[in-house]
Amino acid sequence: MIDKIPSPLKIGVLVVATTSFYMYVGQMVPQKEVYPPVEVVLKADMTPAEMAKTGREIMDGKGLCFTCHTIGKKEGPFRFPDLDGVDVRAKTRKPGYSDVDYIAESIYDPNAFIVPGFNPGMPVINKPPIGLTDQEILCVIAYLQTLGGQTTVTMQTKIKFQTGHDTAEAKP
Amino acid sequence: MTSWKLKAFAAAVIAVVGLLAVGRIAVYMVGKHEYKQPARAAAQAPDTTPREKGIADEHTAQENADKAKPYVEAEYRTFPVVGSRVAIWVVAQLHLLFAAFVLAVPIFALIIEFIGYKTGDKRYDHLAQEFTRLLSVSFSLTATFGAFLTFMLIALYPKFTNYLMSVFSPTFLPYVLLFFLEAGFLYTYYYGWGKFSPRIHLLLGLGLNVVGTCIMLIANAWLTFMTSPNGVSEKGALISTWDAVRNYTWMPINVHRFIANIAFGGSIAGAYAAFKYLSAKTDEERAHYDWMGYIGNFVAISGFLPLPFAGYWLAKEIYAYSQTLGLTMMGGAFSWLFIIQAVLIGNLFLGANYYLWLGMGRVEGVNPFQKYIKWLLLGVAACFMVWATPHSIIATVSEVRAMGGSTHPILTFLGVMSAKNTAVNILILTTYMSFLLYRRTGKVPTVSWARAGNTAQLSIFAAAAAFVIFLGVYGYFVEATVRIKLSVPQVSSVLFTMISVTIIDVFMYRKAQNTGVVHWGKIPVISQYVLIFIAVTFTWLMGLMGYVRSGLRQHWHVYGVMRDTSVDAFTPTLGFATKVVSVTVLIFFALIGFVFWLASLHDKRDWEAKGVSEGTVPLKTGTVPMGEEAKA
Repeated sequence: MIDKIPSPLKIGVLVVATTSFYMYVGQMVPQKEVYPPVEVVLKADMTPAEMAKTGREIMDGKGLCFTCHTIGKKEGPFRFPDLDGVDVRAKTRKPGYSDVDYIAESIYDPNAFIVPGFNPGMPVINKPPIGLTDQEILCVIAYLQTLGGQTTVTMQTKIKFQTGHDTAEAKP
Repeated sequence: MTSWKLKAFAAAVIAVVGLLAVGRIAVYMVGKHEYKQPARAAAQAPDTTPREKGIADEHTAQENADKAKPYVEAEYRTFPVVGSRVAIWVVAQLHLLFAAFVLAVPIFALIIEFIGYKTGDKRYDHLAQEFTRLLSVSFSLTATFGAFLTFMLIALYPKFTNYLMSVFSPTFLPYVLLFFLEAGFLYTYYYGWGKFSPRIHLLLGLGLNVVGTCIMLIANAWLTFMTSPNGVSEKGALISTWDAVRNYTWMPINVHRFIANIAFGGSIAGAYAAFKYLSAKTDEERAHYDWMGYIGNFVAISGFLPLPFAGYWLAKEIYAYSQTLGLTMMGGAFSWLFIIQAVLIGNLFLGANYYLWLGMGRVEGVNPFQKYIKWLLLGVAACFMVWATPHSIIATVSEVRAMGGSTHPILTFLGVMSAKNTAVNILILTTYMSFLLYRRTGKVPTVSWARAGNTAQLSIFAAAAAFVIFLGVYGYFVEATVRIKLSVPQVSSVLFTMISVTIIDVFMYRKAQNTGVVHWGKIPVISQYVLIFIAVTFTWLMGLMGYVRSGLRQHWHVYGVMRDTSVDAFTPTLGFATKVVSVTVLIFFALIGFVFWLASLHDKRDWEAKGVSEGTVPLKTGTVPMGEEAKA
C-alpha cells in the first residue's frame, strides 16, 4: 500500500511532519513575551521605603540585575555574588568605604573591585543598553541597603560618580 | 400707364426688393456667421449655497495645506497582516538559507573535483558537476531574495536602514562588484566544465569560493554590528567603518557560518541525492545516487562535528562583549530555546549515526563492527537525554511544592553547563567512532603494527572520554572562575582525539585488504528518508539559531545604540518564533524542490512530437532517420 504512494508525496509528508514536530516542541516549552522595560516615574520627595520598593522593581525590570544575581541562594553554581546580606559585607569590604560608597562603586565602576572567586563581567549599567539614571541608581542602592542594613540614601544624596544629568538613550 | 412709367415702377420695386435682400443678407452674415476672435464668456456670478461655499473653502484650504506640507522621514511602515518584523524575518531567513547553500556547494564541489583530478577517477568529476548543477537557479533565488530583503528594509524600516547605510556605505560598492565577479566565476565554472584544462577549471572554482567567502564576510559585518556595535560613538556617530566591520562577533560568526554552510549545503545535496534515488528507475541510477547521498552526508557530518566548537567560540565572544547579552542568551528569555536546540541537534546526531549504521549493510559479508552499534546507540541516547534536560521544569504549583522548588532535586544536576558540555563532547566522540567503524567496514589492515594501532586508537578514545567526564564532574566542585574555563580542555581533548585517531587510521588502512565489495544502491530505502530528515532538521536548526542571534538584541535595532521603537519592539514567545521558523522552512523546501526538479530536467530526454518514432530526430517538417540528419 505505502509503496504505491509516489515518492515526492512521501517526501512532502516527511518534510511537513518533521517541521510540525519541531513546531510542537516549540509550543511545549514555557511561553513568555519580553517587553521593553517600563520607565519608572521618580519623585524628589520619595520616602526611603518608597525608594527601596522602587529600587527592587528597577532591579527586576530595567536593570536586568536578576539575570545574574540572586538573593538568598544558599548553594549551587553561582554566576555572580548572591546579594543576601550585601549591605553587611559592603560596610567592611574595602577599607575607608561606607556601604553606600562600595555599592555605588560596584554599580558605576563594576570592575574596580572583583569579589574573590568571581570573574569580572558586570556591565556598566548607567549607559545603554541598560541605561539607569542617577535617580534610579539611588533607588537601587536604597533597596540593596535593606539587604542586611537600613536605607540611608535619599533622592538628594550626592555620589561622586553622578554625572549631574540623567542618562539619555542614544538615538542616532 | 405708359411703358416708360411701367418700367420705372418695376425698376423701383426691384431696387427696393434688392435693397431688402442685401440688407437681409448683411444682417444674416454679420449677425450669426461673422468671424470672431475667440473670447471667454464673462463669468457668471455663482449662485452658491452656504454648504457649497463651505466645501469649496475646505477644498481650497486642503490644497494650500498640501502645498505647504513639509517632508518628514518615516521611521517605520507597516506590512499588512503579518506585520513588518515577521515579513522581514521570513525574507531574510530565505535569503540566508539560499545564500548558505550557494556558498557551500562550490566549496565541496571544488574538493570533490580536486579528488577526481588527483586520482584520475572521472566519477568524482561528474559528481562535482552534478552538485554544481544545483547552483544556477539557487544563485538567482539568492540574489532575488537579497534584493527583496533590501527593498523591504528600505520600505518598512527606513530610518534604521538609513543608519546602517550611513555606517557601512563604503562597503556597498565592493559588495556589488564582488557579486558581479561571483556571477562571472559561477557561470564560467558551471558552463565551462570540460571546456578548459582541469587546472584552469579548478582555478575558476577557487576564484568562485574566494569571492563567495568575501561576499559573506561583508554581509556578516552588517549583521554582527547590530549585535556588538563598534566603531561608533556612544550616540551612534560613525568613527571608523573598518572598526565597525571588525566588531566583536564578526570573526566568530564568519567561522561559524563558514562551517555551518558546509554542513547545511552537504545535507541539502544529500537530500537531492535521496530525492533522485527514490525516483530512480534503474539499479545503476540507484547506485549513483546512493553514492552521491553518502558523499553529501559525509560533507554534512564533517562540517557538523566541529560546529559546536565554533558555536562555543561565538558564545564566548558574545559574553566577552557584553555579559548582559550572554546571560540573556543562556540564562534569560532564550534559555528554553536551547532545549529545543538540544532536541534538534540530538536528532541530527541520531540521524547521522543511523545512516552510517544502515550504510554498513552495503558491504558484502558479515560485518564484524555491527555488534558495537548497540553500545554506540546507548551512548548517543544517554548524551541526548542529558543535553535535553532543562535546568528547571515546567510544573504545576503542587508539583513545585512537592519538589521543594522549580528545579528537580536530581535532574537539576543535569541542567547546568558542566553536564551539557560533557554530553555534547561525548556525542561528538561517539559519532566520530561510528564514522570510523563505517570507514573500516569491509577492510582489513595489512600493516604489521595494526594491533598496536588499534590499541592506541582505543586508548586515545577511552582517555579522552574519561577526561571529558572527569572535568564535567569536577565542575560541580569548583567555583565559577575555574568552572567556566573547563570547557577549553574538554574541547581540546576531543579535537586531539579526532585528529590523532584519523592520522593513525589513514596510515593503518592505506594498503588495507578489501574483504567485501561495497554494493552501492543496496541500502534500505529508509536511509534516503533519513537523509531528507537530516536536511530538514539542519534547515530548521539554522532558522532557530538565526532567530536567537537576532532576538538577543531584544528592543534594540543596534544594541545599546539605536532603540527599536516600533510596535514590534518586544521578544515574542518561543512558540510564535517556532511557527515562523516552520513556515519559512516549508517555503524553503517548496522552493528547493523546484530547484531539484529543474536540475533533474537535465537528465530528461528532449521533447519529441507525438508520432515521432524512436531513432529519428525531428526537423522543421517531417522527420529524418538518425545519422541521416547531416545529409538532410
